[in-house]
Amino acid sequence: MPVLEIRHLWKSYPGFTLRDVNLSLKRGTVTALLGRNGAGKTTLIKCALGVIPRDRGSVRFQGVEREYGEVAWRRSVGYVAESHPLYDWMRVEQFLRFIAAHYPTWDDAYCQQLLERFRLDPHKQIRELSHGMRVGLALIAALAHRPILLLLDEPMAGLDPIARADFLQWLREDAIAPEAGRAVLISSHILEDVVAVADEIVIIRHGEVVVHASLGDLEREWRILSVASWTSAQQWSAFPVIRGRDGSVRLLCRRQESEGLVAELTARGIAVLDVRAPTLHELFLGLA
Amino acid sequence: MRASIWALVKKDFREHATHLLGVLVVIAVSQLLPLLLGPGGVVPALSLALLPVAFLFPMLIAYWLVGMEKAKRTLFLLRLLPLSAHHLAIAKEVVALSMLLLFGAVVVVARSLVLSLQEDHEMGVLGSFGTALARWIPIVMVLLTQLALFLYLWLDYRLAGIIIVVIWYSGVFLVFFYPNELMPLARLSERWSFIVVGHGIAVLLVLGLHSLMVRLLERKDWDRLATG
Repeated sequence: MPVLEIRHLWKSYPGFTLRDVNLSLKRGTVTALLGRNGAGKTTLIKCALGVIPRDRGSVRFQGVEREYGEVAWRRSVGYVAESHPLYDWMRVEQFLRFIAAHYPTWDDAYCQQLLERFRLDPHKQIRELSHGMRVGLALIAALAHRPILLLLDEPMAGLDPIARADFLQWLREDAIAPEAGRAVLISSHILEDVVAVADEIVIIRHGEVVVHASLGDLEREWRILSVASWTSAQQWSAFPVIRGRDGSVRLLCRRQESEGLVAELTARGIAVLDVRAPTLHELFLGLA
Repeated sequence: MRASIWALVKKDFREHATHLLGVLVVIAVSQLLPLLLGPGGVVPALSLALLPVAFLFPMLIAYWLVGMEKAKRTLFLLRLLPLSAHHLAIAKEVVALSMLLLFGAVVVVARSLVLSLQEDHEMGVLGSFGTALARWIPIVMVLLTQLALFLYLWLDYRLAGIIIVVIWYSGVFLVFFYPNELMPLARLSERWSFIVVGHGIAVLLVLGLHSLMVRLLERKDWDRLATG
């Protein structure tokens, strides 16, 4: 049974609609949610969590339908928001005590371990923390009650490479450890980090999920065709065209379409230099 | 759930302890002023002395409890907690009411002190209006505070503040400039039946504003709001 199952979810804002989103998060997996700014990643996460109302669709947590306004199930969910809202006037330990009061399953010993892991001084005032430390604190607040679903919205944005590496190591070793039985959904723009941790990839474009598969499946299912002698006048509406800074041009297509596309390009006098599996970066550029 | 609400109440009192203390000192000093004026001064009746500035209390309370949370986006943090909008609103209302009680207590204690120490002071004339106001001020303050909490949640803090000031001074204007026209109402307001019905209506309004606050808390995306 998936930890979280979203079915036919719709949500409209003026000028934006999240359409018919289906998603399921399995225990012990990390699912990466990718998309351009404004694609609907944060809206999807907030609808899933019940922070904002959905227009249509269902959200099932551990097999049980969760109506909007129900909040008790959120005790089993950890969420790190992109904006990291924290009380700057509080000390780290004071803030964690405040959060702990709302979670009956709060584990003080685990909280202490996490403080050490993220090298946070509990006596420090929050306004004195660096951006990386604030992210660390938000993570501790989301984790110390041992949630079985962890939703991370751009947690690595603004972190330096060392902090990012630490975070990824923690995510691999601790967050999805088998004994935690946890599902993780992480939205990020840093694709190399996503490749390092994600089991499943979800790409969302203009409020629609266009891809939901494992990275291995994506590499098997999609192909990149590198072509030569491409002019800007040539447009190919059927397939996404990826232009490199060095002037190179690549086309993204499904594997079963690749042979036909090669033949068609050759017939038009466009030489195909290479056919290979795409990188996540290329998939993102082509589909997001 | 009680632990969650208690944690929120404690958090709000800790966050605004300095502000609260500052206002309490200002209130106490302003009420003790007659002592400094020396003998022969006029001590205005309690209800009338409070009238021009009483609107400040609900405004300050609503700004501290809601306006600042909105401005710093921490209201979004509160909405992320496993706590319903109803309980969140209750926590804010408990803090607001407690602060209001503190303000009121300081006023009454300071005023009693002045009156007991300065017997040669002349007491301001209370009159029917003063008596009526003294009876109605507590419930009016509770209603105004609830309205301020709702308005600060709904609107930008500047607009909410302006609305409170306009409402309050419309009332003050009527009391000071049309006392004769309001006299029948003042007499009526001394009847027990009127007091019971009036307080009942005020309580219903407070509950209605609570429901509106809950609805607002549930419906808005508090992460999207950058300003109070």
